[in-house]
Amino acid sequence: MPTLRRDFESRDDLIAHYREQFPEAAAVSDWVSDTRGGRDAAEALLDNVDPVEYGRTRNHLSGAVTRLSPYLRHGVLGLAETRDAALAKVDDPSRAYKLVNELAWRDYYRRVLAEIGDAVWDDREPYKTGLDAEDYADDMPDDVTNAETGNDFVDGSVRELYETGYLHNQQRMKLAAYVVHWRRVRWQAGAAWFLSHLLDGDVASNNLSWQWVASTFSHQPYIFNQENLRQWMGGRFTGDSVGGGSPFRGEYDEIKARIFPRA
Amino acid sequence: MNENARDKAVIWVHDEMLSLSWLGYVRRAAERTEIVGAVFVFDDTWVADERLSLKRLVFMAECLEQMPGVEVRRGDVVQEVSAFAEAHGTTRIVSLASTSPRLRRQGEQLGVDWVCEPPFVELPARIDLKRFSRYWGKAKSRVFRTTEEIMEQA
Ligand SMILES: Cc1cc2nc3c(=O)[nH]c(=O)nc-3n(C[C@H](O)[C@H](O)[C@H](O)COP(=O)(O)OP(=O)(O)OC[C@H]3O[C@@H](n4cnc5c(N)ncnc54)[C@H](O)[C@@H]3O)c2cc1C
Repeated sequence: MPTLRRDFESRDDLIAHYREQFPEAAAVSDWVSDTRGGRDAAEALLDNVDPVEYGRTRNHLSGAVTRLSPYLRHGVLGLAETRDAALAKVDDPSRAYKLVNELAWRDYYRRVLAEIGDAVWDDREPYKTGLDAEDYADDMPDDVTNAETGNDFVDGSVRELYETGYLHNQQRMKLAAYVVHWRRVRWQAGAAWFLSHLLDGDVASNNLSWQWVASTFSHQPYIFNQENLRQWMGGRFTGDSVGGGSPFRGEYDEIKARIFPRA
Repeated sequence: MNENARDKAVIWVHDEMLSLSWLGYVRRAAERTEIVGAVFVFDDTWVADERLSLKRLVFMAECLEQMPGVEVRRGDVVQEVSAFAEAHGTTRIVSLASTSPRLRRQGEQLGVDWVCEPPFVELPARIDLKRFSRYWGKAKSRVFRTTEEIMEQA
């Protein structure tokens, strides 16, 4: 009977057991995150949530984001429970507006998934990039998955994804946009790649966010430029590539002309 | 009614309910049913299909570590959960409802009785989900309430 152990002497003991049981998962990536699973860790994070600070700073890489996503994804915390906790921390519900609004994105994506099921892997709508689905590559480029593009933002974010299983929303949007729009890869390839590494990997939020970036689930593609990247990255990434250039340099019109030549 | 007439059931713990509190929640919802066991199965097909990396499995294992009493298995979910139920003298399986097509399919094959989680927001049936803005237009006047307030109005 394929029963797994459930009592461990230490974290190392647990990790060793799972590494032995699932060599195929260790072959995908052998990193283990510092983020601990379990209700205790989730409650400690929930205690620290500051809805007001969150509303002010969430778009910054160093902002007061909650990091609750792996716990919400696995039901360690309920969505309603988390909303209740957020409301309990403020004297007026409007002061938790942004956090409840972001939690609602999760609720929304789950409702869409309930409606469409496995079609979450299909383009919801055509691309609005002037390109057809056939113009996009089926597979992830090796230099991206190996973190060897030479761009500090791309390579740094890919390494962080592998090592921690978490990326800030700004990094997710920008990395996805780089993959789909700059490298012209089908969003499905990027979504599958994220799913295998994210601790919060979830076909609802993940696939539909990739589609939102790609423009198959929005009115227009999400793109950014280097100025915008630097605004949110708090000095951690410049967007420069080795040798000094940057694929993200320029005004939006110039970038669009480069990456969407037929639009 | 004698004790034997009371239904027996096992809880299928899946990857969207990795907290002990759901076990109590499902138990309370499935009133008149005696819960005789709970099992989680690492789904070999899912691990292979989504190419899950080690850190994800470790995260889930750590969640399960804080859920004493839940048996942890690996393999084919439908086969393992059925076998677990049978070994506990029942065919009845209860679990927390999910929107995941994978979990729904497995639940259907197992004949699961689903228990719904507390609502994040109560919305009219068949609302337009084409864009978030349409959903939010309906949700925003109802979502800034506690679960207790939402339940009272339901
Ligand atoms: C390309 C891409 C892929 C993504 N993949 C996933 C995924 O697999 N799983 C996942 O949970 N989220 C995904 N997201 C959404 C979002 O980036 C993460 O939920 C968020 O960054 C998690 O960090 P946090 O918990 O610190 O978020 P916070 O900003 O602190 O938000 C609190 C919670 O609200 C929910 N939330 C916040 N923003 C979003 C959003 N845009 N969409 C849906 N829910 C949101 C999450 O449950 C989150 O934990 C993805 C976004 C993009 C652009």
